[in-house]
Amino acid sequence: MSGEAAIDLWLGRFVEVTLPSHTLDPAQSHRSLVGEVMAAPVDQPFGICFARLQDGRGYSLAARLREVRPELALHAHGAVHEEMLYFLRRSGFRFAHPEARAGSVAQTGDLYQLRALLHPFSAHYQHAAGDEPPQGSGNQRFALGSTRWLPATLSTCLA
Amino acid sequence: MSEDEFRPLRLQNGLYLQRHAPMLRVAIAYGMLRSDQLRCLAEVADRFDRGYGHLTTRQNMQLNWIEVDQVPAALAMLAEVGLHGIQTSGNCLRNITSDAFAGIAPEEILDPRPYAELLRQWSTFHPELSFLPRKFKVAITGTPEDRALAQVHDLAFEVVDAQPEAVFRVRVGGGLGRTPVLGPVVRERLSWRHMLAYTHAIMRVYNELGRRDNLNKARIKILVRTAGIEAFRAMVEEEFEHLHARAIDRIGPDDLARVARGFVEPDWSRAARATGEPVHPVAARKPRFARWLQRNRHAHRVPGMAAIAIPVKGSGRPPGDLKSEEMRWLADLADRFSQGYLRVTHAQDLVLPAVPERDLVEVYDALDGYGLADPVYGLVGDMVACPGGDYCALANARSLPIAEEISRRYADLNAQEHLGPVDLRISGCMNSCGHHHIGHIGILGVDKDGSAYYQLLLGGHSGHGSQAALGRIVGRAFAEDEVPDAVEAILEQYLALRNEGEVFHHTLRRLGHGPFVEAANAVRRPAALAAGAGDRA
Repeated sequence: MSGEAAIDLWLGRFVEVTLPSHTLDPAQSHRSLVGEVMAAPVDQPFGICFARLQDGRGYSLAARLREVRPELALHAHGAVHEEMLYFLRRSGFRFAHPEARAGSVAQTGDLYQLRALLHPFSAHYQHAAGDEPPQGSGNQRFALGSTRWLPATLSTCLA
Repeated sequence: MSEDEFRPLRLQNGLYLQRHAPMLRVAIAYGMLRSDQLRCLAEVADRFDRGYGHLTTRQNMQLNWIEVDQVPAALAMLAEVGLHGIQTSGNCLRNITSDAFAGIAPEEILDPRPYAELLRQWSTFHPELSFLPRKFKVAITGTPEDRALAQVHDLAFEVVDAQPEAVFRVRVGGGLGRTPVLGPVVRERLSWRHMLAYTHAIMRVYNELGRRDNLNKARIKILVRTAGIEAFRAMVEEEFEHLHARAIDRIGPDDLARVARGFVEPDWSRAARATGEPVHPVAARKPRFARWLQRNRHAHRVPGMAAIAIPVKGSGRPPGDLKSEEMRWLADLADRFSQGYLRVTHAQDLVLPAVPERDLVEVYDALDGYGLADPVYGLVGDMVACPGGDYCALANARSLPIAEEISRRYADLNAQEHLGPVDLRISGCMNSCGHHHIGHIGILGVDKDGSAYYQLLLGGHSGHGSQAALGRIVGRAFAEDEVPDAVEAILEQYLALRNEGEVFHHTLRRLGHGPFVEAANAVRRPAALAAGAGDRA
């Protein structure tokens, strides 16, 4: 297996990394998938394949797996678009393998753009299954009525 | 990015493609609106739209003519006053709604807004809630009476106790649309401390098991019905225990206090400081003012204060439509008499929530001078209607001409008052944005061989003031020009048959559908009969 272009969601870098040979289909029963992961060696990475951008089951599966195995390295592949990077990171994926697209951040290699996609907001409202500690308990910087930001998804789509 | 990929992203930011133009849906969190926000909506409507906005049945505002390339600029303006379009559409957990009288209703057990805000914050940009099988609507209410339409939401929290801590009853799988269902109870008592984790558990079960192969069977109500509430509850409880054991989504008093600090209470002492005329002598000499007090003034938990409903209805006005100059005028009115606070109701009306009783004469005079003092709150003239086929690409039929014709026929306030409370709701299609299933009288636009027809429903109830109920279809559909006649015939039949002290839904309940169906059928014209229009869907 040779490495392929991917994005390290934790470190915010472009990397070459091998897509794991073990791929999980979020359409399958989460019980069997969790069982499969728990039966594997601790350092065994897994891929989760997104069938469509609109199918959010991969986020729940990733979060669920990270809850039972925090050290697990998860790779997102399939219908992975750069607009999903924030959600992928927050739900516990380590690597993303976006589809090749003209003008995409993976193609331009623009680190600033990558970090904007990974960190579109200055604070989060909920627990993350990813690399960050939860910020939900008295540690949120957004107060009611002070949310002066634009949704990155729309602004980047329409730019 | 393909249109197929762009679609869910634009929808999650409130941007639809409608029949004639894009539409931007702006979230008004649990219906709470400030005067500066209303002015901003007016400015956006003028600068980027056609100078008006439409209040929706989920307490949002829609702008129907915005250009796609101007949406970022419009959103930037709205963000300056804390408004946005995030999660107002798409297959995600949408804008959380509540009781428009939250925090001021005398019978309220608990102010639900801080809990709604906790849920709103937590659900915003949550990966697991953003690409669900289908849309997901949440309501929360703090009163025994259901003014938040809790029973027809995908997920609803109804307060049970306030002391020693807030406890909610949880309903799941309610909804209207193609398969109307009153949501069954999934948990009788849930501590507020577990609201997020329990919601997370429900969403995770839904995200993983909800159908994705058939759009019409993808709502959580179908999953709940298929699994059965007991099996669904067992899955949720197991997931909840899993999350709870890991302290995921755990919240405590500090979180609640942080959120509650964001709600600035109006200065209630103004009730004692207001120096206007007392209402009773004025009401004694001005019958229209007395009627306005009776219909549009609502009791308030603070002595000397009142909540004033402003029906955004009437002949010549699509239900819920506000021109930009009206928005600015209402913002000024709110500043002058309600400390800048307004509310949006599920019935597409506005409320001034903090008006001193001693200012009511002035408020009435101002509203009357501006044409917004019709004392019709809860009457047939206060009907609910979606934008229908005039705007919406999903609609089978037009709602607004039906609303206009019925408004015109009942423009006489005496006629409306004579009828008493009648909840009329109109939807242009099965998606039920006009909530036709829960109106005393519901009207549903249907397509029959390429032509628009309308089914009538009777016996629905929103749950406010009585048990929630879903209306039943009254026989075959009616042609567009028959519908107002049919509604009028039903109401005439009610006047003929009602007992002393009865309101419409009481008479309907006592007598059943029979006499009303008979009256409605009498208006059918031979041509429509011959066409066999609109078999029961």
